Amino acid sequence: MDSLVNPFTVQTPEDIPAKEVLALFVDVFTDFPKILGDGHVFLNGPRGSGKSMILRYLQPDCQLLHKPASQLKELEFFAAYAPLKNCDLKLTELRRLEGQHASVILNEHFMVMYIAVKTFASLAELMCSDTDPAHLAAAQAYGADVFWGLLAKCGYDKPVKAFSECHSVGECCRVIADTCESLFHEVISYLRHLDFRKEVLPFYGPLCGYLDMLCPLLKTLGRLPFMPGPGKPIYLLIDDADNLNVTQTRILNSWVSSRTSRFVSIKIATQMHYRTFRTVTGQTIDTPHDYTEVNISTVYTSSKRRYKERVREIVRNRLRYCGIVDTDPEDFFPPDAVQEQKVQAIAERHRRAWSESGRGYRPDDDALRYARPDYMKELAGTTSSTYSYSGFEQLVHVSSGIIRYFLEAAAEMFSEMQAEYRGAPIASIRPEIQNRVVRKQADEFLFDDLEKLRDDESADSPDEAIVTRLNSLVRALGGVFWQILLSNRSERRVFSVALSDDPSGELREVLRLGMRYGYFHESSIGNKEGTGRTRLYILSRRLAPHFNLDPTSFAGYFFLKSSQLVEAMRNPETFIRGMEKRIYNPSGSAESLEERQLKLFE
Amino acid sequence: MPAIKPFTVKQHLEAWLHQMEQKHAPCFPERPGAGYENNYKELAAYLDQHVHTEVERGALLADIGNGTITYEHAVYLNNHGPNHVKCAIDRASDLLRELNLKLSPYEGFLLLAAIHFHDVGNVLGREGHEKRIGQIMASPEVAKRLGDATEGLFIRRIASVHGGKTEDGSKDTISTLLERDELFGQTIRPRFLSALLRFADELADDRTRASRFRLADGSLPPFSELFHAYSHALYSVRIDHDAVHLSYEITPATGTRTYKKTTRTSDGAKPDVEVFLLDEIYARTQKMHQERMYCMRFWPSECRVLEKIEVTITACLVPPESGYPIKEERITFTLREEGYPTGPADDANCTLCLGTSPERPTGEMLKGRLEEACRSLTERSHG
Repeated sequence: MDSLVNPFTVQTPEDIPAKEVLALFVDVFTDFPKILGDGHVFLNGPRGSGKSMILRYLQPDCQLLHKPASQLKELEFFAAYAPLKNCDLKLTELRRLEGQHASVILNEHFMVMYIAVKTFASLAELMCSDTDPAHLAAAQAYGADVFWGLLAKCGYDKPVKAFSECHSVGECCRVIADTCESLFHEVISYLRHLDFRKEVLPFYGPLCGYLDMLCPLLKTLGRLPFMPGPGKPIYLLIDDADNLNVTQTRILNSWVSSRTSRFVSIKIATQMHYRTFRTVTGQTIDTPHDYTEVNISTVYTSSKRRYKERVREIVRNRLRYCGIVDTDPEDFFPPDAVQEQKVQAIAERHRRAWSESGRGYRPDDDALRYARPDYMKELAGTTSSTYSYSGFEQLVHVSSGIIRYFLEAAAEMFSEMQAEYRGAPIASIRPEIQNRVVRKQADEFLFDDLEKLRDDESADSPDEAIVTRLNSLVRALGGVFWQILLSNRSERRVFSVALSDDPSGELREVLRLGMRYGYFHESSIGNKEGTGRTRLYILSRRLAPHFNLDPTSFAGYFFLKSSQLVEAMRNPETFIRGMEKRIYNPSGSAESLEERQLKLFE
Repeated sequence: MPAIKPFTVKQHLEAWLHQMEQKHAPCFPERPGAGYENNYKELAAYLDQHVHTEVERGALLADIGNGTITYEHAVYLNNHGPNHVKCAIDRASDLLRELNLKLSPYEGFLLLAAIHFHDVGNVLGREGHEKRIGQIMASPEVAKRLGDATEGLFIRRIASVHGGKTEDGSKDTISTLLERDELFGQTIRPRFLSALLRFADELADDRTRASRFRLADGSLPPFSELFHAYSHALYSVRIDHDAVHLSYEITPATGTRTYKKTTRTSDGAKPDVEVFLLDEIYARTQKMHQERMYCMRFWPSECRVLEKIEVTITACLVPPESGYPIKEERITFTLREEGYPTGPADDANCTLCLGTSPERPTGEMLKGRLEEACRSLTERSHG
């Protein structure tokens, strides 16, 4: 193995070569089968949950290696990738059109051209050496009749390049990509000119929409002999769709509502901050009528076994790719042996005492539920920070269902080991390094990340007051969860609160921000009355090291009224004091903290 | 979104545009060019001279070009030329005036331009003609008279929802447009404008559209006759404050025969049938009733006062050219919403009257009545 290579480095999936993607990718389609197949899909998950990697894997260069196949037409589908994170669709000049001049029409044209560029540039690269006469003739006819024809209907009146001069399918696609790119830049130029003028300027270029240009263009493309086939749809992979402005989001929703998924299936990845589900005409798009929804974090936070298995596969693949073969992730990330011995000793005590004072159904239940909290309780106070967050299992839990959190921590641990070992092969990560890194990252997550968010002055940054409230809420809940861990309550591994009523406007905004940036995950549980379900907010276990909490379970939760959470985000100290009384109230009366444990399937 | 500055339209729409530009020029958005009226006139003159006159011929040539049509089934459209456009503008002016509908000057310009474009797609073929407007607009001579592309696209979209279906097969095409949008800093109402155009077009299917010579001469392709016969029968369309009044005339020549028609069934088949003109009038007025209800949905709420369609069908029992004293019977009915909605158009509540008969006569029944009158006339002349 090259000792300089860090197997856990996180790269932007767009930049990873197909071969590497195939080596690193863990098939998650059994977890999310709806992503594949006809139909529009919203793939939701916080930053780092693996959405972009899934989309990258669907791209044709990866699919050709996966199948394996030598030609595009052998694939089950063709997917075009359009990332929206750092692209010109975010131009601030577009705001000058809002409420002034044809913003829907110009934004739609802009989006159509952007996606056409991405689609045909990708095809140009893939098909650059395809000179098969039948394929070339079909591509030339497609360019001359379909592409120029559709563009002419949209008002294109410039001299057109002859497709007959192209010598490969790739060249034909390049002509289309270049034409669309020049039209895309025409819009940019128009928008920039608006900045210097008081009045609105006329726009003289063609204007292309989804239904009159992009959809028929892709529909016909799908029928060409070098493509996967007429019955197989084209996927448009729209990544980071939260970056679209409201008008663009409504336009994309209109595309989703247009029932064209038999030919063009749009797979939209969002970071839980999708602006609206309304179309340009004001209707809503609904699931499952118009699209299917896949929430990565919901699946992985509610099934720790499934998530752990996925992380195990990812770590194995990455170690193998860097030449560390036959290494079990558990061995590569060993726990602190002394600490584990002590925890096991406490567990054994609980097993022995079960017949007399046990609280669970089986001896092992008590051992699992109380051994680690008891150990942490013993360390409480000045030695709290000596608890070691190490071992593959704990690291998986601390990553809280977001794979990037695991990888970023692992990458930093590996770098520290590299610095220490100075080029010597690394067979495992020392527990103290694991613990140091996850504790540092937990502190950064709470301090630095929120601070950055507060200082963000960009137009779509959250309100500073909301960030402050989020900070207070996280601290208040973390503090209360720690108090519960130290108590003698039956379930001390509490990470969640269930709301017994609907959150108010401000609280909802704070929770939404928390979910967007990964401080909370949302789920639902049966309400107290048993008449329906209510919202459950799970604190990110990434924060466990900061609050000295046991990350190995998020089973426990308690009910709160939303007014209590409002108190927590406004006066965290008062909230914690108030909760302390309830936690330690020995009477068990109605005033005491009402706690429950998640049942199977909740 | 900027506020709309609407004005009532108490005169013909084209004259109103002229007046608006003379008196309220600042109400139009500032954009390069020689004024809106001039822009409109130049565009209308070009379309009248070079495009509208080509519509019927173009549609026929496209059918022939497709190679799937026989002479019998060939459709020689009724007039879609400058006269039809003028008629649609007249009807839109009537609606605006009688129903006290208001437009901003810029909306007036867009509406006029859209009326000019609504049928031009037929030049390239009848099927889906509403989707071919863009192709005509993109031709260099038209494009240079349109100027700004966004404005052109608004005009196209307003014009293109006067018929056809949406991508998912719905006939509710107007809802695909925005209720309000902005253009050059002005708010416009695309749904309202397109609903006005659509209903004005529905009402602009009168006698002026029929090819009288060919109809009388019998030289129309068989499946084209009904279009012309229907238009020829509708000799008056009048709008007052709450009703559309339609007057039809059926003569012994047109009422005693059937016309060939291709219908469409729900399973997509297109069987050929023979229909009487009276039955066709019933079907077309029912459709007009539906269009009235549909289009009015998009008008400002305070102006949804067009309550009914009053139909008078005059059956001339004596051929007008015979020289005998006029003898007529009238079928009158009103199409309006009454009672609890029942859904299908056939159940639309209407009151009917034919002389002393309380029942709605069918085309077959009318044929019998006309033939009887004809026999009696012959006997009288011989006696």
